[in-house]
Amino acid sequence: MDLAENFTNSFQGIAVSPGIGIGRVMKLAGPGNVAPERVEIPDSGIDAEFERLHAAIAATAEQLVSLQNELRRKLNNLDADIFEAHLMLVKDRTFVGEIEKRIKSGKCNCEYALYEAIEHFQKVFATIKDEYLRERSLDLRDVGARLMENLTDVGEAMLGLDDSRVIVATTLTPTETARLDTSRVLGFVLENGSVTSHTAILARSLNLPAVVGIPGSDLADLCGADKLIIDGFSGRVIVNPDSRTEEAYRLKARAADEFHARMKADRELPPETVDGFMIPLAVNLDSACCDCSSLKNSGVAGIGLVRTEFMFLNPHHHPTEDEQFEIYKKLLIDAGDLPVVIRTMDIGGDKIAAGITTVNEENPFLGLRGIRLALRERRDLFRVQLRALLRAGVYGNLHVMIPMVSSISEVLETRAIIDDLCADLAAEGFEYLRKLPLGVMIETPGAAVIASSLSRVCDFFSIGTNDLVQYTRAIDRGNEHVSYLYHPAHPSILKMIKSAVDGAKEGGIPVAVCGQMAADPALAVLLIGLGVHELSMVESAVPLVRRAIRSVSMYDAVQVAEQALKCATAAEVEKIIADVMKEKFPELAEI
Amino acid sequence: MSIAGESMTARVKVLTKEGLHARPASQIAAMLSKRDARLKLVKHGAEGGEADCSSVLELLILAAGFDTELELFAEGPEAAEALKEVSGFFERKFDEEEF
Repeated sequence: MDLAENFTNSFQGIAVSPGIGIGRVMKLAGPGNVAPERVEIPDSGIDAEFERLHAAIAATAEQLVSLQNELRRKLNNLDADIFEAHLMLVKDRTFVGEIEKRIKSGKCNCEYALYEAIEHFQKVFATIKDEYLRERSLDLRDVGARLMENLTDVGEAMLGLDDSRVIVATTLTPTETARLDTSRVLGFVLENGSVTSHTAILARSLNLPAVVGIPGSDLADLCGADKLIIDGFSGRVIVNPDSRTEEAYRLKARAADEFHARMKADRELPPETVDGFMIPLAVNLDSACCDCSSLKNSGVAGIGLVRTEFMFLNPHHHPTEDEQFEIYKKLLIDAGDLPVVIRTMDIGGDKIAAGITTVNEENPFLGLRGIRLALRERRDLFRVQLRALLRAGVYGNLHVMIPMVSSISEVLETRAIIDDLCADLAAEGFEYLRKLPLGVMIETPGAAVIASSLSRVCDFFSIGTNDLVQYTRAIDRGNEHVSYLYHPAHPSILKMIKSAVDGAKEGGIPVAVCGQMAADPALAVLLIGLGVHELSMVESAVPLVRRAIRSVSMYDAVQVAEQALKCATAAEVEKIIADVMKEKFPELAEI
Repeated sequence: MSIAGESMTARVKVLTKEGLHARPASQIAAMLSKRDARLKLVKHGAEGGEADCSSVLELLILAAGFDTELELFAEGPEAAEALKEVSGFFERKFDEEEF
């Protein structure tokens, strides 16, 4: 009799990255993640636990040093001192003492003692009144997570495995995802997250399936012996499938792989509708420090969004004008003739703000964010960034856009700063871009509604659909309780986009979409039907979107858009698009 | 402090907007690691407490925000040097650039 018989079960979550993954579970534990298992340690084993703890401390310290060096290199020698503090923290007498005390008095394993110690100090930090200092508990959390990783040896365990694994966790931080050996990851199953969260974006760029929104109580029972099927198309997760189910999914996975291979093969073909309308497809970059030299010959039309928040990660050192100038210059030279749209710092909301603003906001998403912060609170940083951009602009095809615009005055004020900086640069004898194309992100309903006025004071629009959905439908996109309302195809969103497109037409300027919506092949068709000129997306989405565009005519797309605008619900809109895609691009429904 | 050796005190004040955060705390702990001295930082008042300056964690938990007044107690053979070094660091606003 098989005592260890595994149970079969299945959960329904939210699919955030398509694909099929089949394999055993690798559970990532850590502070903020699933509590590690408590193991009773006999007195004779305490010394061995101490040894494990100190070995993990030494390993963590070593990694922090190399990480610091790596970051210094990546950031073009920007200050990476924050790791110095982490290095001190991991060896801290009081911190290590607390863990040792808990191993000894609790007679438990290091992992559990570490977990308890972190929880203990988190509670102490939580009582601190000064918000900035209270948030330093994050530093401890980060150090704790690294230490835990070395104790549980995730990296090592992954390397030592002869098979790849499905990652199961409550949540994954960007650091954690960046450190995974992705060649051994089959997919992600997470409790927290959304279609726009970090892990989801990463999973899509790696072509790995991901499902989020599975309750922690369901995940708690999973262990390394369990086999999972993740269906990144439907959001279904099947635990210990029977052989027939597994075989069916293997077939589905193969079909999806073949389809993607075909998609890649036709990258030479232009993104043109059957009736000859060319739709430029551009890519989004998460950082200005990316190497984009490979894009020149990849068939993409440009870089439609470069995020610059990453540079302001270190609260103790912000990049100087010269440092930023070098970064932008390299990016523009690498991109050659391709247009590059750099978005000025979008800080505030959920984006990093440590060391940049001390404003305490109850509702940061409706607060001093993006251009508001740049103009009201950190005009100093904004001027430095614009000066660096103006100087770098002579090396390529630079466009600059400003985030979170909700009024004309924000654009005019930015223009005034640019004029002022140009005068300074000329007086100081610098070379600079004399006519900088300045664009506006349309991501608030207010901006979409006054688009016709905005189009007269700027050179282009780029619609950020992720935030536009959030603000139009009044849903916090990090809040899983309202994620059921997150529908980019909702008629309210389409009307906002239509208003932006009509406004752009009045001012005679082009309009692009750089949000998640542009990366969805069916919604991309809807967008071009609404009159959007250009779509910008994560690079991995380009092949499928190109295929979708090549399978319809502009006439079809306009028809779809016209019908969609008359709908009352997202479900009606989705049905209209699905019907058209089924006819024009039947393979899309199969994958 | 009761351990034998020189015991000295000094008063310092946090002059930076961000307070005594991770970077200056780790720099203070690093200074102490090079000295044969023990240094205690005491915050008076209702939310008061004390921190051993060789522990970054204790310094962080002390939560010394902008404008907080603190007292330093030093002892040990190099107490005078350690005291001077750390109080100087407070006076120099933790050597931070103002953004």
